[in-house]
Amino acid sequence: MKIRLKRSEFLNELAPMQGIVERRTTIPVLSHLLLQSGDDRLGLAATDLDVSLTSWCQAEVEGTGGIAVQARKFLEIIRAVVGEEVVLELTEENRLKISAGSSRFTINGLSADDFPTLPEVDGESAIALPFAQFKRMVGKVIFAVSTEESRFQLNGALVKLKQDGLEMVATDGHRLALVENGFEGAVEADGVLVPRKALLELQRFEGDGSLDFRRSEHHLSFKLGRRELICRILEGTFPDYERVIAKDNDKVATFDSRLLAEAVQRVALLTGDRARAVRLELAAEGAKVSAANPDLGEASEEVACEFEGEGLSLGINPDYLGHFLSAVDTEKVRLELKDENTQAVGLPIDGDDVRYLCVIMPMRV
Amino acid sequence: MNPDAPVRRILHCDMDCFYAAVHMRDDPSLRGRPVVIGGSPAGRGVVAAASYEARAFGIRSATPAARAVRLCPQAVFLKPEFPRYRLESRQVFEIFRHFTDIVQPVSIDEAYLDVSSRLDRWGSATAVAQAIKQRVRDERGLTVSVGVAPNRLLAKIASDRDKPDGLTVVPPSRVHAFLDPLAVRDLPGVGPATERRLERMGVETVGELRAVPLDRLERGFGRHGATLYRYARGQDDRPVRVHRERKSLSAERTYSQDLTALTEMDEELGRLSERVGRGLAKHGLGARTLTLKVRYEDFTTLTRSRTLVAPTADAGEIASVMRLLLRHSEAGRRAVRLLGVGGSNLVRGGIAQLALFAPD
Repeated sequence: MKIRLKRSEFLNELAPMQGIVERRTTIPVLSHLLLQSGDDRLGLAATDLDVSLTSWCQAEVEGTGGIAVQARKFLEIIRAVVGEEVVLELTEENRLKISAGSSRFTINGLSADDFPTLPEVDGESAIALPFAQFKRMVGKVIFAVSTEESRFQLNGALVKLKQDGLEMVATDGHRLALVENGFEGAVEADGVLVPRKALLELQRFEGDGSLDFRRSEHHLSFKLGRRELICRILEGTFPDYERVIAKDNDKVATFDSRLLAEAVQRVALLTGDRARAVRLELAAEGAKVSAANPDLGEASEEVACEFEGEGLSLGINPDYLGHFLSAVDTEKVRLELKDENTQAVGLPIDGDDVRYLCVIMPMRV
Repeated sequence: MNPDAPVRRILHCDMDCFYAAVHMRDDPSLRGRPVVIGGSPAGRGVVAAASYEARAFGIRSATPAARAVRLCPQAVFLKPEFPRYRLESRQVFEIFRHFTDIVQPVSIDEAYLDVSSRLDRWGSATAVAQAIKQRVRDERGLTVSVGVAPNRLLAKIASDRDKPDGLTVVPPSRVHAFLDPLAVRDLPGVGPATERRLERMGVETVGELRAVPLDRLERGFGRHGATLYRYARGQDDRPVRVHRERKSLSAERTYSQDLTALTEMDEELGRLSERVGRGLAKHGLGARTLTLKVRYEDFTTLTRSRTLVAPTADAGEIASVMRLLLRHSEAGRRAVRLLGVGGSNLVRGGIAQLALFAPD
């Protein structure tokens, strides 16, 4: 097999593979990329057994063959060499010769046969999601996905088609983010849990075409142009989230998103690393954010706010509040509150989404 | 001090050369040799502990390692193993607690014990001290020096008089006789600076210090003067404080019939987690580290721990961690006779993230 291809195009497709490849793995082949010749193209694949990514590059191909190469080293080489073109040549058993400019590398690989067979998702016809919108929605919920391995059913976001709409929900058991947007022609369907890693990798995709979405019994496929990301559906029952979206919070505070975010970030400098909490005090005169730590000291800051209702004070994780404030894309936000033990609900004011909210459970301080 | 207050019997128990003693107990080849813990002889660093054999060469804790090598080139230098010392310390303190509930640890290797209420059972504080020494020797293979006195000050001074393996008793009637011949620097709080200034006043022994009037000491040393005045008289009414801050909270259960199915174990873990979660919430605590304990039918026991991003008292969260950890054990393939759920690395002050969903 001998392949000649454009280096810049090749790099474009190689880079996103790195996110999929397992860095610390006990199975050597999972730190490898599969290179496979095709008709006028070179196929690329990476997998960690849960999430896989495939793509291809246009190429001049002589003969057929494939090899698995160490992903990181291979990318480093293709990045480092100069010249517009790269020539790859399968030499003896599982060795790949790389020629570019006046550089010659011969690297050891693994047999293509050792590379795991990737699942195929066919069957049902694809649903074409507008990718730019999908990506924006992911950005609005992904911070709330749990990274605690033990709560595996929360290690992803629920993606759910509704009548003419698409909804995404994520929670880690302490806070929850939900976004819904119009999606014409959609029909109500069961939600599916998309693992965090798949969402992170999808977020790195560029483009504003349509994302073809398919599901099989255990897998999902997301296809954008030549790239296809396949992931295993996260098993488990997602909690009944509508139930925890507080509906009767009667105290409403309106803030400038940026001013509140900055104040919280500053005051949070005086919270410890073990249990991070700032105190948020609301009164008709305005709001105050404060923190006290026996080891460090105290900090407080006044923040302008419009507030209706009886004054109250509650503890809140500054990171949770900060994540919402940086995900929200409106100038002003509204916090709906009840008391220091009831979840706060953050909402954009004049946002473009059909529905966007972030529920944050307070901290007992 | 209230003269009508009942006479207290306080013990100060001080492990002899604790770090070195642990190594020497476990490795007979070290016995009788100068052993130095801490600092590498090649590099920098200071000595954390030295055996009595090493002390004979002038090596003390905080001696720079390089100097220790010069003082005693044949010394055995060992790396400190603090987890090992902590484990040993916990076991020795458990022995102390067997004799009285009022145990105040001062450091890893010393503690005050108030045995005033335990005299009926043991006859005298001296008998308690002897029994403690005996048990520490028999069960832990270590020696402890004990001072027995009416208060902490005197007990502390006394434990240091007859090291190693000492037992010094200061009866209330012999306080002055005990203190008077001591050098002033033997009193806690008298460092080189105070010692020099007392020397200039012509005071070298505690007996001489006792002859100095209070106002003169206060003029010379401010508030510290009053303390010196009381210490010279052997007066100290500080209580022995049991301040056993809760370090962990756990629940476990041994089953009359071994559990074999994971589903059964999951259910049990749910119940145990509920108990731990409620206990934590009651004390206003959150645990950052959760530990699963599993004992198989053949009595081999293992523990598996996980540290969380944020502390929790949430039974649902605890249970889900436990179920995950259970799958990192051989439970299911092997029958299980005991399950335990524990929370440690506790966060106080009541800061706790509340949960959005009720426990499942």
